[in-house]
Amino acid sequence: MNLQEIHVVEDDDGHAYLIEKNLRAGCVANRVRRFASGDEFLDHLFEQEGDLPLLVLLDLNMPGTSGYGVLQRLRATARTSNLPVLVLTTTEEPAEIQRCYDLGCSLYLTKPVQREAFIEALQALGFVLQIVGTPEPKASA
Amino acid sequence: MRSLRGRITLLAVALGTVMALVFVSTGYEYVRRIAEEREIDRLVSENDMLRLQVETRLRSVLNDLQVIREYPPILGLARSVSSGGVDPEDGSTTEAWRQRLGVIFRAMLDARPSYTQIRYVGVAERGRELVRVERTSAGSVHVTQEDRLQSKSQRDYFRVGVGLPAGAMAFSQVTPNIEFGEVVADDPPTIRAVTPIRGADGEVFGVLVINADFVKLVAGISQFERRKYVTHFIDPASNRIRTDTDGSIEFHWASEGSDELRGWVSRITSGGVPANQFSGEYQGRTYLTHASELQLDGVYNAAGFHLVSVADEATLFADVLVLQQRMIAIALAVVLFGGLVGALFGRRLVVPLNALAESMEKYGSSESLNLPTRDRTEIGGVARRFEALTRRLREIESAERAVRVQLESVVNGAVDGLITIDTEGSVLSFNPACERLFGVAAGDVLGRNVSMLMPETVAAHHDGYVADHMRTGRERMIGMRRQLQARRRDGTEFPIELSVSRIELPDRIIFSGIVRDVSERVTALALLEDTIDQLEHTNVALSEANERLDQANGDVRSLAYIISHDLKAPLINLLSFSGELRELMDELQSLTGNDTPEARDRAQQIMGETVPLVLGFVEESAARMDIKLNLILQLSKLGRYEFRPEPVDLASVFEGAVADAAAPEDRASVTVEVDPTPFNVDRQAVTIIAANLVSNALKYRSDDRPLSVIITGTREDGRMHLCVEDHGRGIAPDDLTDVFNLFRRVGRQDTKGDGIGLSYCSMLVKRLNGRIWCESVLGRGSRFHVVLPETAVAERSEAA
Repeated sequence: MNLQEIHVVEDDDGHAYLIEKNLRAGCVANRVRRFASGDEFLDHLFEQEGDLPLLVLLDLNMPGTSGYGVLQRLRATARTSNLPVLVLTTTEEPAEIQRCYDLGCSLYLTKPVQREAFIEALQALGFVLQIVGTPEPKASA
Repeated sequence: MRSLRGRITLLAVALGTVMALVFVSTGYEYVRRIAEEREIDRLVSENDMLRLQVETRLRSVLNDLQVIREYPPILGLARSVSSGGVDPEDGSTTEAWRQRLGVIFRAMLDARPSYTQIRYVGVAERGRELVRVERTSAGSVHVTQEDRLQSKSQRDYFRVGVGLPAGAMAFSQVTPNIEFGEVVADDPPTIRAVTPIRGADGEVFGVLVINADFVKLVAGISQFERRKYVTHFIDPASNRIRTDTDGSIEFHWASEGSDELRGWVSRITSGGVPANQFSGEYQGRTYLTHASELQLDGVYNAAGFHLVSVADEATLFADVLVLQQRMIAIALAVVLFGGLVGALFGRRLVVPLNALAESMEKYGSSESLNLPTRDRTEIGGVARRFEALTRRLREIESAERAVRVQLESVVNGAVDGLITIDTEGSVLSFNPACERLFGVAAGDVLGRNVSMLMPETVAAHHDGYVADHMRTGRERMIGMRRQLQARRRDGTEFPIELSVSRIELPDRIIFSGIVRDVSERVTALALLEDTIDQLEHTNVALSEANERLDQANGDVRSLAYIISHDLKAPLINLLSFSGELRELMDELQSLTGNDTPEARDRAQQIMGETVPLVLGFVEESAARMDIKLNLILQLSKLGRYEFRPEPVDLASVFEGAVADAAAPEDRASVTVEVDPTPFNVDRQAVTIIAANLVSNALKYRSDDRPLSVIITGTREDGRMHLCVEDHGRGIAPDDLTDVFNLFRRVGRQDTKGDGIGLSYCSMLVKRLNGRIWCESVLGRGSRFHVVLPETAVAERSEAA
């Protein structure tokens, strides 16, 4: 059974670890693949022509190509223009949130500082993904 | 003829005259033409009738001649004479035939009163008469004795008769009767009808002749009824018989009468006057004539008998003339009557009009008008209109009076001064408020020039202004409210507000001015202006301060977001992983005393792998936080840092920065071309800026090009423009705005850096009231510009 991957673009190792762990705890069976920077993700998707993931969890503040840059690139390319992108960041600045939606992100989630809340959010996201994002084969399983 | 009545009369008379003239002239012409045509018709028909009668008379003579010719004795006599005295046929003697013929001739003469002689003239013996019967002047008829018979071979008629063919007849000319070669004066003019008598041998034996009294022959024709015209019967020799309408008859020889008459006659008979035409004047009168020639076919010598009917114009148109006179009389009567009626009618018309006019003239007095409004003619209409008009006029007048009273009370009670002047500048009205304002009684101002109320400098020009306006129509003052100086009677001046209006009256133009004393307002206004000035100054200062505050606030806000994010990230890790550690600890505790191999493995995994991993995250996060907090602390110090401007040699500052940052082998690749003249600025700030820009230029060098950095510094209008140009990696256009943000690092992440250098520079430059920006092309290099103002720094920092 070949489930589509979930891509996590996150420069912070701790965050990446926590995201993957909690997605698992939220019963997400898909493979979670982490990219440490926007450039690495773009390289995989466009230069290596990797398969499209089920969805992308994208951090905004990254050295090199930022989350905005990644989002812009995804939306500007036909192949990836409809790819679901969840922006996951610590920033709560309204202007930044608006900018993400303008660029076409599917959902914007702030990283709660409280551990339980962060875990809860990610797990909830995992459950949501189970419902909305699971393809046919998963349903038969 | 100024009066209406006179005009109507004149009109009636004129109309009557014109009508009469037209009536008379056309009527007369018409009647005259009709009459003329009728007369001509009558003239022609009468002439025709007479001619027929004359022809008949003449033919009857010939007829008689023919009858006589056929009597047997005519030839009998011829035979007897030829045969020597006895007719060989029946034996009658010449004498016997003569007697018989004498009886026949006598009978004929008896029957025909106009005949004077009937003769049988023989050719032999020089035309000796054979038989002759005559009527004496006394009227008795007798046969002429043989010894009294004469020879007639010399006479015209004899010759004519002898020359005629057998059986032909002819008339001779009208001549006096000639007996024995002598003219018989008393005898009437005689016409003769002749015919030849031929013997058995065919030779002319003799001529049969009838003498007729020419006048008597024709006389009868004048007797028929309704004859109107004088008629002339003219023979070929122009002898005339004139018959008049009264039956009188005259004979005139052609030799008689004047040359004029003879000419006239010959003109008519020769066809010189066309039939039924006026023949022109004769003895000063115009005659209408109609000439016709007798038609006696088969008769020799019968041409040239004319019958001429003559009507003279006066008698011809006598009726018409009477008619004309009557018409003129009638016309005159009409004219007079018209005049009379006109005069009467005019009077009737004018009297009520005069009454109306008199009534109208009473308008304005208290008397009742007593207008003839019930009159059913136009006068009544005029009266009714006039009445309505006066009613309306009275309403308007009373309304006007009310308005005037109101206006006067408004003007008199107005607080503002009201002045009206004419185009010469003379004061027309001056209300009580003006009297108060200018301290002068209206009576002293009215009629004088308004310039007396102005300061002398203005007064001198006022008349000119008004004249200019009147000439050019330009409106300097009209319709606007102006503030001016005015002058009281006592010479003191005071500020007024004046608004002038131009009023166009039907007959002239005047100007009205509303004057308001604004002394208090002027004082208050000056005070207010001062206050407003001060307020404005304060406001400017406030808004400047506010602007700076806003900018500072903005800086602080974005800084706060950045800091919160950058500190949040490690904080999340710290919190999450410490929670993780607690969970791991709990799990370890639960595993304590559980001696299953799985538990041991799990405990082993936790202790050996998971905990060190989690601790690693915790340590790393804590260290990251420490760094960032230090940097933030450093930045926050900048906010409190007080700049101390001093003359700085910027060239040496940049050279120092290069010396600090560049490795010995790189120094040759860096050029410093900065203006070394002292520039007033905070030394420490520029040193930090220089260090950051230079180290960045060195750090983000290109891998495939040799290092090359050019540092320039030039003075421009009291500012220092610094530029650090490298030929390194360059920055993507999208990232250019991010380079000055705190903790933002763009491009390839292969060098160490904490993302604070440019942000720090930017804050410093802003606090120095300078400007920093970046130009860059990815893969080609970057140019960082800094523009700094001189000395202003010290003041600003103090104000802040």
